[in-house]
Amino acid sequence: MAEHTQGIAQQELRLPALASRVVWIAWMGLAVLVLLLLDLVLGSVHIPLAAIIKILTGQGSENIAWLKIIQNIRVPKAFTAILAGAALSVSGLQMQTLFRNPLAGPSVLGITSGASLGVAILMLGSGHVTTSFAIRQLGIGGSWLIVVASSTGSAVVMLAVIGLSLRIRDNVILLIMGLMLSNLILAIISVWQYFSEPEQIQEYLMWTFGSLGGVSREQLTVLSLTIAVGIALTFVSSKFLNLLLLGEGYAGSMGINLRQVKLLIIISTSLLAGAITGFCGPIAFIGIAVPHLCRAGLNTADHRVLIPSCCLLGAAVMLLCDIVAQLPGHQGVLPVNAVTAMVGSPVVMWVILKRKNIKSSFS
Amino acid sequence: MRTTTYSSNAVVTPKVQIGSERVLHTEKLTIGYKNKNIVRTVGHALDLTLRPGQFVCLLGPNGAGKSTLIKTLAGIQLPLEGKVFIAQEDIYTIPKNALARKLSLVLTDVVQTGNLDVYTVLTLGRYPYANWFGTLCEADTKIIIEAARATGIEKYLDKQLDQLSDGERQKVMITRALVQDTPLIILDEPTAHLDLPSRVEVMRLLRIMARQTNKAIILSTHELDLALQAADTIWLMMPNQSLISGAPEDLIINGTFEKAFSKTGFDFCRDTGTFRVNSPVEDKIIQLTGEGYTYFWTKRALEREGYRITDEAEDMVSVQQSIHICQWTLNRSGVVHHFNAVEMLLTFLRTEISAVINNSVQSIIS
Repeated sequence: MAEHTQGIAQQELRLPALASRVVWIAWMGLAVLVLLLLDLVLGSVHIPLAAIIKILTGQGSENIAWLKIIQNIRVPKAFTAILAGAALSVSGLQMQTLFRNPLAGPSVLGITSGASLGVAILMLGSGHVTTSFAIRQLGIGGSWLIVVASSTGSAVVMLAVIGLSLRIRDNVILLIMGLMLSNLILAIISVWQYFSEPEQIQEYLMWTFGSLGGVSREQLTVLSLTIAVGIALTFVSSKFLNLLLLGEGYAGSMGINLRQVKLLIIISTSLLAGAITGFCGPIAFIGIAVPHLCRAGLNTADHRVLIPSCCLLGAAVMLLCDIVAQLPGHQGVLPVNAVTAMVGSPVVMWVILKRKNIKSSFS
Repeated sequence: MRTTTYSSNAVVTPKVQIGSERVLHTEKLTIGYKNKNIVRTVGHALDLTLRPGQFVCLLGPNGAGKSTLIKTLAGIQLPLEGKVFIAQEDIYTIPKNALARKLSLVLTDVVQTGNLDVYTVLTLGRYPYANWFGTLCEADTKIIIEAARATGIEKYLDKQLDQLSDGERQKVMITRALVQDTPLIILDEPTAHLDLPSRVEVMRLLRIMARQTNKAIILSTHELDLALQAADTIWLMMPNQSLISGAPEDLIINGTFEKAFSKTGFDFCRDTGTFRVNSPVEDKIIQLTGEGYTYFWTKRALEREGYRITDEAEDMVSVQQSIHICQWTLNRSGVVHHFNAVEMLLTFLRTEISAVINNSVQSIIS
């Protein structure tokens, strides 16, 4: 991005300043680090920071319980939070640009319910206990199955929404169609739940609350690989996403193959939102709120800046939500979905009121 | 409105005037659209040629197929028959990225994306030349800044798009097309949503751009008046699916315009190159003498009142113009009336008829 300031010395020309954006991104990175440490420190069992740092740096600990808690529970959970925050924010960013719709996001347009359906179909077909919690017991093979099933479910819904968007130019109507599609899928799952055992229903309900804690260290490998591929694909398409800011008509005239680009965006969005939903349940609001916060804070629509900042801010917000969900000082854990809504919706409202940002983000 | 000057150190140094090589040509192009086996043709067997530096305005009544032709020439829509060639290459065999270096597009709808500054929009114009990540080199930056200077938008490079007026935004999109540095620029009704000063400025800008950069420019528009003033060539889409190409003046003189717009119910005036809003009433005739713009505008006023200007009329209005003052004289059956403004003349003419009737009634009584 040095090209903004470099080159011809044009005193009278005022090019957009970039320095403040770099500072913002640095702050976000710092916030992720601080929140990560906080997330590891806070929990129902009190473990001193010194002991945690010892465990993290591989020096072990004399307290076996602490070692187990950190290694097997808190570290996987914190990293799942980072992955979930980054993945959902980046997929929300892509969808907002693709549909030119400020309220687009994985949970709004039915992408997460598509993922749920994918997981549900997988379980029905395999004849196992019909919840994603049960599938987690299948080990690494099962983890990949979850990724494939949930991402495929997301991709199918995404294709359906894109199909609708070809016929429907109106943003609001498209949103309503997405919501209806989402409701339809959830209804199918409900009907199927109705014919299931009570304990399965309970587990399914737990899953819909969203949980960052159900991902084991082995599954974390699968999840992080999938998210890495998804985010890498998004980086590859950042140039195309920038061109899409001017609308499909202009984007097509500036040398991109719209069909290929859409396919690329579908694949990465489905991988990101699908995998997270499969493992953590439907987590709402992060996908909508974080891209808007980034746009407002950095005052840019350039995806080469927005993608990394969405990753960082998404991770930070998700870690914060996880910390709040643990109710420091209490034994219980709040469902993370409730916390993201509590953090996310006021933020969205604030952004709309303060910057009128959502309204002007896209025409 | 600020005036825009196109600096001589612009993106491409001026070469010859309208050149001999062809930027774009079509062979037996038939355009239209298919919808469930129903084929609707809007243009038939069109052979068009466009040369470097040529500024073409595409005109035609609504529904004549302007938009379809633009889309077909830009490679967005397939022709029903025939071919479009850009620099001797069939447009549909050129890969998208290569095409983006030959042809740039400006669309009707004004882009209103938020958080997007003008400079970033212009950098998008260099993407067809950039790597996958869209990194620009110093030469790109130079091109962008020169293009911004050329179109006079360098003052708001750091402004957000939503802080600009529609006219300014459309100028940004035109600058972006200039940055894309293609030998051909196609504009699909770019002035449709703009106010009058912006429309004039956009047309003037495009005309200067065509001349100075030697780019070929096609613009579709409803702005008959501006098109006739600015275009080198008019492409006029006729109701019979043909397209007539020629200098604006030729098309007016030989009556092609009247034919093209005959079905619209408007009256195209060859004298002024405009549509007549007011058609003369049969029995209202008047003679007018005078010179220059006072004559022109007095004529307009009389025509609006329904008068037909003819030397055969008995009543005569004459306009005298000195440096400071204009005076209108109405000579009606030997009685002379003087007026200081067109409005006074018109008011008199309107009330005069009833006055005449009153007079005749009085004379009968006496």
